[in-house]
Amino acid sequence: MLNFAFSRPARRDLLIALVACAGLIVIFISIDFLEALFEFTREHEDWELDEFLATVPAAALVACWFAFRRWRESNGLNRRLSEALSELEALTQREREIQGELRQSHKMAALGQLAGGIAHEINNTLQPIFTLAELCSEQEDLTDKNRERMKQILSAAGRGREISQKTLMFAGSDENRSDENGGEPLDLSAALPEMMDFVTDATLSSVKLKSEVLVDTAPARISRTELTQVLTNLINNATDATEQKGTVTVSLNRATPAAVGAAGLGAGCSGMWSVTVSDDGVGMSDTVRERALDPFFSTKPPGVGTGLGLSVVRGIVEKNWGGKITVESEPGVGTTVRILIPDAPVTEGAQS
Amino acid sequence: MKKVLLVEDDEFGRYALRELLSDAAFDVAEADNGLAARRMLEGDTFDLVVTDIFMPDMDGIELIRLIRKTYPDVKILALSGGGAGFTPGYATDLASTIGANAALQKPVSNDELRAALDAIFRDEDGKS
Repeated sequence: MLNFAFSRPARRDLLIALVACAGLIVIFISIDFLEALFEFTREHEDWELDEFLATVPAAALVACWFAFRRWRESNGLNRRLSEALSELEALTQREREIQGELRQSHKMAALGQLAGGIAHEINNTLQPIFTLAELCSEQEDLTDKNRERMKQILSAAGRGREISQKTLMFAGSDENRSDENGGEPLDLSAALPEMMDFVTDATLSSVKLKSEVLVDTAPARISRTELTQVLTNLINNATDATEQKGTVTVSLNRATPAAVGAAGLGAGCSGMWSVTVSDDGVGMSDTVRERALDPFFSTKPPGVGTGLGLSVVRGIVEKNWGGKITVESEPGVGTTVRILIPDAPVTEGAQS
Repeated sequence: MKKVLLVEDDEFGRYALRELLSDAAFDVAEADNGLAARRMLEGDTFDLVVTDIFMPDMDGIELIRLIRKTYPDVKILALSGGGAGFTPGYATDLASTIGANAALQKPVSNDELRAALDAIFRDEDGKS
């Protein structure tokens, strides 16, 4: 931790002034300066030295006053600098934490995708084993020995199904749920700007990013990791849509009853937060908009987009958060992705 | 005899389901992805499409949307083994949402499959 409570130049100036004063006093006393001066002035009254003598202490006082002012200003500046440095250190620390969370989020997303892909392959492989073994077991002329063998095949396949279901549960990012907040709701109004600062640094180039948080507090039972994953995906897409030269606006507000009703969430949802990510990019045709949230659908060139980003976002928002995601778009005007997230009391009610 | 179009990219899976459907007295035609299925739907009439969800070229979700738009009377049974990055049941829920008559998570037992097929055609018989 740096300490700038008292700067060296200010202390040095003050010391020099004090030492010079003390030195002059000693010299003046040792040579009977004042007496000699008195004599001298009496002898040269026509020189008007009295005024000069009166001016010297006044000038010394003014010089001391300026030295003191400089010392005080310098101290004030140092204090402000010290505060700014502490703030900067806190911000750097927070950025490091968010970077860690984002890394963890990417790691979990990658692991989840891998696990989901493996479970998918296992399930597809198990399906013909189940179907054919059961068809064989249903044969009436099967010997007891072969019936037992078929039973064993099915038991082994059953164990395989259990493993794949557990893998799928992992792929469903269960451990990314809101437990990571220690059971406490996440305040979106605080979390959103923090993450956006980071996402801005991490993803944007010449795109202008604006944020509008229109509520003082917005508690929701969602995980910070998943929120980061969702925002990163949406802002990346919006940035791509503006071809790196437009404006992307992220806003948070309480959802209007009309928006909640339009999303088909009317019953049991007394309060929801609305997070929108809007861009003024190329927009989408109705056909593209209709498929935008589908898995494997991408308008990006092969090898650039996986087509999984938005569908994973949809999975998180609708499955994990119990919310709703909708896409509004007009070609040439832009796109708005709206996420409705239940507020914390509603989620509690829904869980009970 | 009811005609079924079986759409599945996995060769073993396709074989097994064909066996089950044939045993259940369906007339089975096969396609290994959504595009092939679309071509077959254009040239023939089917009572039922049994489709996988994650397939190359044209996936089951797009196929279900196409069928609901173009062939509204065709019944749809969707089967999915899940997919990379999805919560369990996500693909089957999505398939149901966009218009599949039934959607099951693989691996599914023969009894469950037969029950789903019965339910699909029972609904149809009930309506007619």
